[in-house]
Amino acid sequence: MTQPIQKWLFPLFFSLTSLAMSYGQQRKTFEGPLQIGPYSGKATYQFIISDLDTVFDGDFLLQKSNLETLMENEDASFRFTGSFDEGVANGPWQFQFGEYKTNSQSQVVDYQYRVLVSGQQEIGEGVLKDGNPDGDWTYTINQIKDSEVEKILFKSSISFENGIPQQSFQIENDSSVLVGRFLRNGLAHDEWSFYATDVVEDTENWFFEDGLLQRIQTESNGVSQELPVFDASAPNYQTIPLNDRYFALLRAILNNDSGKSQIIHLLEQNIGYYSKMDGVLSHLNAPGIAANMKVRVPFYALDSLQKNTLEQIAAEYQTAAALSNAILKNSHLNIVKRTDPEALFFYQVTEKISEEFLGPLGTLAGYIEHDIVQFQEISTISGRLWPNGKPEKEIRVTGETGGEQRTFSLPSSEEFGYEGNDLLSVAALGTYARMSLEYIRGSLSSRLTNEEQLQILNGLEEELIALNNALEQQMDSLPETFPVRYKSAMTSMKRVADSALTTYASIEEPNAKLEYGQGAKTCLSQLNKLAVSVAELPKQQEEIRKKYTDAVWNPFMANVMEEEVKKRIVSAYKDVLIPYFITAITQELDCNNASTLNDQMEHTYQRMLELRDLDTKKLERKLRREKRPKEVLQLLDQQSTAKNQ
Amino acid sequence: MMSSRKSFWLVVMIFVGIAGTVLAQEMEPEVLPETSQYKDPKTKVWFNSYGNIRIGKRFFWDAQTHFRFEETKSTPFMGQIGQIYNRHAIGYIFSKKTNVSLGGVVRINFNTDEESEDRNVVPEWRIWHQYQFAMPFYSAMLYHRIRIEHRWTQGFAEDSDYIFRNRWRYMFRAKIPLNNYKLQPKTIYISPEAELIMQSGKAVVDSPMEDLRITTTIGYIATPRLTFAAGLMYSQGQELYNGGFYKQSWTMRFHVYFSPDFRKVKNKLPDIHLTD
Repeated sequence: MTQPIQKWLFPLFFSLTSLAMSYGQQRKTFEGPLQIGPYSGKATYQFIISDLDTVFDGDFLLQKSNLETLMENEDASFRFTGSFDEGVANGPWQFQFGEYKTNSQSQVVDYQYRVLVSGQQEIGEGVLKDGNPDGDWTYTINQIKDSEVEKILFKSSISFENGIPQQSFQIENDSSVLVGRFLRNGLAHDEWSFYATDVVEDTENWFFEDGLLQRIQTESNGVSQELPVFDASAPNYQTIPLNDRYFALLRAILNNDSGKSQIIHLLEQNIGYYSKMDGVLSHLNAPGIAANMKVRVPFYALDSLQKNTLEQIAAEYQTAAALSNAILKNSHLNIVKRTDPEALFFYQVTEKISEEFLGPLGTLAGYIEHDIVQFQEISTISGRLWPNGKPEKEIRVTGETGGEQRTFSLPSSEEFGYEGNDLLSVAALGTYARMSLEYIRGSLSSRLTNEEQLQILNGLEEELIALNNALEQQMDSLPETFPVRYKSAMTSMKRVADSALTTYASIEEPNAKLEYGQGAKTCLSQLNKLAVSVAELPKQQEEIRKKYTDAVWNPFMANVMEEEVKKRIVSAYKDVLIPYFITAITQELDCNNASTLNDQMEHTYQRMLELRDLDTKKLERKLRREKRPKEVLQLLDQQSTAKNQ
Repeated sequence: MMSSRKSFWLVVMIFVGIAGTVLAQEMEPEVLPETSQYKDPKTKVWFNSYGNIRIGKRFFWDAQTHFRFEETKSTPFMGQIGQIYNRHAIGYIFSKKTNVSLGGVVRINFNTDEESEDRNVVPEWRIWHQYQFAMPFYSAMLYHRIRIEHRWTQGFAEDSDYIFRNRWRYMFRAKIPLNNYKLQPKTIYISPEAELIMQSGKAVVDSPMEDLRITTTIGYIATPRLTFAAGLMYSQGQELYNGGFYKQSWTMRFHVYFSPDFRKVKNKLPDIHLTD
């Protein structure tokens, strides 16, 4: 009897055990808030627990949309859907990003409230197979108006096989299209064509041969151009991804001619959108997604010595650039060089080093940073950076006023030789520039003094320079029609400002310098105010003229005529006071009376505006005899005292 | 039976006939000449002042005084005084471009007939009203003036009666600025003008065209309230006693135009916004 029982007990036990085991592997569903990277929203996903880790398995959804922010201003929404297979993305995926606004008008349809939205919607979708894109992937950006697609701003369609782009692809935006194709291994091949959809004549074609970009042909505004790119007979080639680094290389080789390349622009856009999707996946611990386009480039392997040299060049450049910056931007030096020919000389040498040595070195430093030196021949790089040959060790500058030439060279300049076309020469050039700048800094050290007191002066000097610049700008921005006599008043202000700065620069003793500098700052800002007042004079006089003009109907002519009223007051202003101010500014201006003159001018103008509406019979009578400016000024004021009492 | 209308006309004809007979008895019968007869032109000088004194937002006092001289045998233009002329009215400013006036004139007429034994001075009375319209025309202004006068005059003969006439005057005038783009202070302007003066009344039988005046004036606007002008006028017109005879004259005219405004400042403003 026991036999049969044992017979069915075993399968029962077995099935129970396996059920329990499989229950341990069974998917659970999570529903709740989730943050992955910058995206925080509401998630619904299935997972399994494996080795105490949560592993995505099954459907995945993360989304966010907020009605409140939408109604208030604008809502950035997203929605990611897809599925995993034991932590690996597998199956159809869709990435949506949206930025919407609404006109805040709602309607009720059946049992739903509806609001129409406008904005941009981005959708990237396709199938992932074992974490790699497979089949057709598209990324589309739609411009939405009132909940309908108004325009397609961008669309890229690429076919993949196991993560490798295949066959042809197409990338378009609202005004142009790029089509091209790949070999089965993902290498760019054949002709990649770009054309503008509205101006069909504008084209750009890249010609690849097994991933090697051989030439670029462009046609724009009827001008066609053909640029050779990579040499097909280089000894070695390397396959690299088609990405920012490759674009940097192209820009280097084409010497920025491709800065306007439309193809690069579209490809960069596309790469950007793929990395946006990749950003989501990589935060889900899944292998990323990338366009994975590949190209081949010539490869000139660098030995360890060359690599070290490159590092040295980059370091020399950093140091030299910092030095030159410190010298050129030093506000104290900027003041001193006005009076000190030695300082001016070194300043100019620094400018020249910065331009002729550091400019090209900076470009090379950029190559090093992008790690693209090994894809170019060193001699070619050198020729490109210094098309007219490397700068000489003797640096010639011409003094600002006289035509006298002076030459700078490092005392140890004979030890430097950088005429060669190799990296060591470039490094030597970098060292020469750095050492020259160090030498200059040493020579200028007394003028660039790092004494603490002068550090305090630094801020003050920046302000002085700014004030002086503002004054110059005020003068430069005067209209052509500006009266000559007023211009000479402005010139007088500039003269006072210059002399204050010169005196300041000539003071050695820091405390006295600081004290004088404070005074000069006040003076310069007062001169600035005065300049504004003088610049305003023509406008103010026109205001006064208008204000003191009445419209009178003439019965005999039957028309309306303008009549000047309170003529004596207007004449006192126009013919006595303004000429007095201008003469005073032109002939007697200094730091002490600038403020007084400005106050008087401003006050007089205000007073003129007031007097129009006051009873001025008495004043007009007095003005009949009085032509002395200071007395006239007093008379204009007396009236006010009388009125106030 | 005569109809009442016929009898009316009969009465009128009898009345006119009697009047004609009476007139014919009083005066020498005048016979029209075969052709029109133009007298030698007289030369004259007029000094005219025109005041336009604002007395309210829309009212002004029009005050004109003219001194008119004419030749004597020995002295051209200014030999003797002809008339002193006082014209006053209250004007109403309808708009900036339109105004009307109503008032009276008293004119002192001097006997300029050097051989006359009659009175030397007689007064003349008028009631007048006028309507002026201005039109801007490019930089210039054009003016139309209609002036209607009801006039009582008498001869210089002792105890002569007043006769009543109506005068119908239309003047067209332009003022064209010469040194400016519009008429405003410090502007010299030229002003051509033509005025036709027609008359009617019992005494006017065959001389309806009293005067046709053609004038050109040069003026200077000193301020909005003061203008000077001078010009030369030629005129011709039928003599009252016989329409076959035309008098002619050449007249130098000198004008002062002034328009003071004594209103208080606060009442003056806004003085151009008449329709506010």
